[in-house]
Amino acid sequence: MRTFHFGTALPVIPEDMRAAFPLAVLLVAAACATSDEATPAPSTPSGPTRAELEAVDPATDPEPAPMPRALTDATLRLSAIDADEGEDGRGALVAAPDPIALDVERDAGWPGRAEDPSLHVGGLRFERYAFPAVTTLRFVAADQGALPMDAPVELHWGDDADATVALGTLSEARP
Amino acid sequence: MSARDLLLATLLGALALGCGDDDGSTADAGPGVDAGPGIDAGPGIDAGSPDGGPTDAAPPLDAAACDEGDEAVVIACPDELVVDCAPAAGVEVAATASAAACDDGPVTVTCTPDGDLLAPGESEGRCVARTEAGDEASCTFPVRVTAAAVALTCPDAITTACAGPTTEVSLDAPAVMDACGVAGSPSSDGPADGFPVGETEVRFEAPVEGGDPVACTTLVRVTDEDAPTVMCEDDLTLVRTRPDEVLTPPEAAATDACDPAPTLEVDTETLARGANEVTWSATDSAGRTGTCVTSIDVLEAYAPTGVRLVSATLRGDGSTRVTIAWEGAGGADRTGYALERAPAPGGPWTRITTVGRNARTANDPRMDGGERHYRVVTLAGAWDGGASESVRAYALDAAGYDLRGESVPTVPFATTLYGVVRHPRDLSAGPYPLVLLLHGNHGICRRTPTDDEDFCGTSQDHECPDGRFVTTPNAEGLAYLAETVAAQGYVAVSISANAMNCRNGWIGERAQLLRAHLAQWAEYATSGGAPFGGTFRGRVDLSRVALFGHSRGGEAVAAVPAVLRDAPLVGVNVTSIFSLAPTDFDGYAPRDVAYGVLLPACDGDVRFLNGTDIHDRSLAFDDPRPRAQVLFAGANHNFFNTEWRIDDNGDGRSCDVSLEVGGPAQRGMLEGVFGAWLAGTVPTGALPEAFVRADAPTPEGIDAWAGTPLDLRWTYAAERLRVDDLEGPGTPGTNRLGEANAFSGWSTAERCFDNACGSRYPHERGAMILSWDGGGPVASFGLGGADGSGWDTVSMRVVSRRSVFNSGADEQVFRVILEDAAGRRAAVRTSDVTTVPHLYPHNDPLEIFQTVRVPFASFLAATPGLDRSRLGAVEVRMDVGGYRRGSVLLTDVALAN
Repeated sequence: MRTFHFGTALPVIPEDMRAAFPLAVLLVAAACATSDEATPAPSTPSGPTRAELEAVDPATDPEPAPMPRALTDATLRLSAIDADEGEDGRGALVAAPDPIALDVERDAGWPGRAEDPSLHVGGLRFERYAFPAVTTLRFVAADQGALPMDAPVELHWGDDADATVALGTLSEARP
Repeated sequence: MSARDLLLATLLGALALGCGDDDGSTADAGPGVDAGPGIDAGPGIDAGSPDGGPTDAAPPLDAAACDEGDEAVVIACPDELVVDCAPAAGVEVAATASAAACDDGPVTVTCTPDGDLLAPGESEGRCVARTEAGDEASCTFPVRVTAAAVALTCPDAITTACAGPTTEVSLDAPAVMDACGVAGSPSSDGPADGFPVGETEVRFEAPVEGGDPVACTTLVRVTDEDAPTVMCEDDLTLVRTRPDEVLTPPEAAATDACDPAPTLEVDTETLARGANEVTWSATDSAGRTGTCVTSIDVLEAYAPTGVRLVSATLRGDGSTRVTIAWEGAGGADRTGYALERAPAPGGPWTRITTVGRNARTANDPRMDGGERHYRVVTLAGAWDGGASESVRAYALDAAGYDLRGESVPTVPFATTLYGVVRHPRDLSAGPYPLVLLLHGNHGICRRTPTDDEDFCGTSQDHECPDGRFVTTPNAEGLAYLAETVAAQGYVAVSISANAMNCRNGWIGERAQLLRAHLAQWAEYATSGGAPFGGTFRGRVDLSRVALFGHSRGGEAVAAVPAVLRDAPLVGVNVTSIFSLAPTDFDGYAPRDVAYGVLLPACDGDVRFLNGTDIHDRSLAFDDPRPRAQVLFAGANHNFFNTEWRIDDNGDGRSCDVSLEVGGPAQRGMLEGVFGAWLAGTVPTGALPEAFVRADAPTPEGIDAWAGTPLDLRWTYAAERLRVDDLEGPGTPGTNRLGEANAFSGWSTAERCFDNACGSRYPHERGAMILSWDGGGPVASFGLGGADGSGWDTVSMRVVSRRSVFNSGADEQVFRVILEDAAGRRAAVRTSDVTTVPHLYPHNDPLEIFQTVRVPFASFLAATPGLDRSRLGAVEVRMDVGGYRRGSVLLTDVALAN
């Protein structure tokens, strides 16, 4: 008997599906992408702060020191000085007929700050200063004869009234 | 001999026999037709039948058949004439009939067909009998010629199980029944490559000689009893890395033994956060369905934003520690962050460290190489979420110079050019912009290197003049900032002004000192010079110089533009200046540069925050470059310099000490803010970050690095159309646009300037004092049809006053209303765009302006039909519930970008 044969059985996976095998874990693969490049440090609950950085840096002292409210340990001293010019106490630098140094002494020295110091002698104001020594803040008056010897003397920094230092009177400071 | 030949021969033979006896003398039926085998001849002429008698022939007649009537002749036709197995071309057929004359006379019979070629079919035959006398009788009969008969008989339907996409099936050949005809070999239309699943009709066909082919059909039924196999992922976790990311189930696949492409469907198109049971179904051509289920856990951990290099430190071993900060990422499943480093923006990435979900900073303790890139990856447990954009960092190197006997204009002695240099280790990747940093006035002598107290001395060089002391490293105190800046891609130089310290003012001299350093760097960058030789030749970009100064240094840097206008340096262009807690001895007004100023709210030294004056003066110019001022609550004057360790706020002279944020927080803030300032003002086309523009809160990353939530109050101005600064002619009734202002419903509406605005008003700026006690007062500034299309915001500066009207107030909330020329109005509450706190924590706070910027987008959202191309007025209206009593100062109304 003649027999008709029709085809041969072949299980087929469509071409466009083959690429899906084996199926990759998507999107999360990055979780391990770098895991072998470095050993992760232990997890910490929060990141570092500048304070923590400075706390481990021995070159930095994290503990601030408060600035004294007023430099109460300063003293006023009048000293003869050889100077051609001095202040008139009214804002001018003038020729000095009888100059005198108004030295404010402080053994601990004088801090520098943004505002400049000024020496108020009664109604006069001396603003030009120098530090001939670390312990000495010097103003030069052009004419000591024009100074109110019994007027209160105060040291100011700018307009900062809180930083005023009372220095007595010139009479008290006279050697 | 074929069946067909046999049929024809038989038929023709029979006809010839009949026709041979055609004398007509008798009415015998004559030769009939032997239809042959397979022909249903029927009752026709069958003269050749084995018994010799006609089967359907007319009976013989004689005169006896005549009636007694008057007929002369009788005739009898066959009932029918059947010819079987005729070929398609036809067969000759002759009919006969019996007849008799009633007088027994001769009779002639003629019939039709009479040897005619008849094709298979039916027709009518007729015979006529005639006597000699001419009498006739006739009869008719049907003639049926049937075709040759060949038939195929197919095998019975077959059912079999599939063996693949197609199935091999063996079918028996059909049976050929060729009773009268000759058939050829049958063929089939069955599929040569096998039968698909389902029912397939197979048609067999065999040719027939001389005739139409014959055919039959049978059915092949291939069955598929097995469902497809679906292959899907094992249970897995996916992470959504950004809010708008659509996650779909990973692809599955299906196979079926017999269907090459079963239909694959999934019951879940998009995945939601949490557990998802995803079922894939595959249905084959037989309708059988297989499934596969994947459990997918979806986590949300979005990519961090705002990644910045917030700090860098050059370590003692020469390595660079880098701290990266970022903004908190969204995503409810985030559990932490990972800091990663790569040699290039595209990777490959190396994980450096991981930190918790609340962290906003992480550091790389030892950055290697010259240039590295960092990114932050949000973590969701063991899984990686989104990754941030990368930020570049440069490994650091240190250098310095100490040039003696240098002449500096206006300085009456030869002095030192001393610089602490921090720069990217890899200078070949430059040129890098130059940043000069200048400390402030401070003692230059200390007893020991680590002593907290510094003392004044008068020096002409960098050193303390008293040999009993060591020199205070004032310049080194800003090295931390120089390092952070350098790691961002600058050559940063902290210069010493120790020789300028402890003298009256000396702001101009400091500015000249800065110029001298710029000139020195112009030399280093071009021809080179001691002590560096050619190290920096071509590596420093002096066309984009930034200056930073602290205290008197902050004032001095603001003076540099004027100094350079008077004495330019070839190739040197200062583009950005930042003053920290500056003094204001000499009234400089920086122009043609970006200018920023930082005001430490608890400043115990520059207690009146004089930087406001420099900033205010810088606003006088129609200069589109950024102007910014930031009030930093809780900061003192000194702690921005690591060597200035005494708290100028003392035991609370400006602020309660508990309000102070501390040195590390101040320095952390400065690193973040100054870095952002440089990034927004030095590169060509740069735009300051939103928080610098007063458009956004302080970045979390900067807060985190500072270690405390920073309270920063910004003012900002750049490109703008000045509506009113309360200083123009006709003020306050007429504004800068020449349009009318109107103030109605106020308890007080008074224009003021400087001290007239109040004893705690530090600004050199005109303003309106606006006090109200109910009634919803309005300040209206006419815009006269101004085109707002090119502007982004309505901007103004405002501060809540020290006033009894503000007793108990924490903040001010009011409405800003924009009206177009057609009268359409859009209102936005200030609380929707920013916070305007009432003053700031301080023993005796100043009234420091902050900027309120209302985006046009907010107005348009409130009133979509608002015509921004023709604006009528901008109003400030105090009618928000809870804020119906108060007092503010208001100025600098503008349309701004």
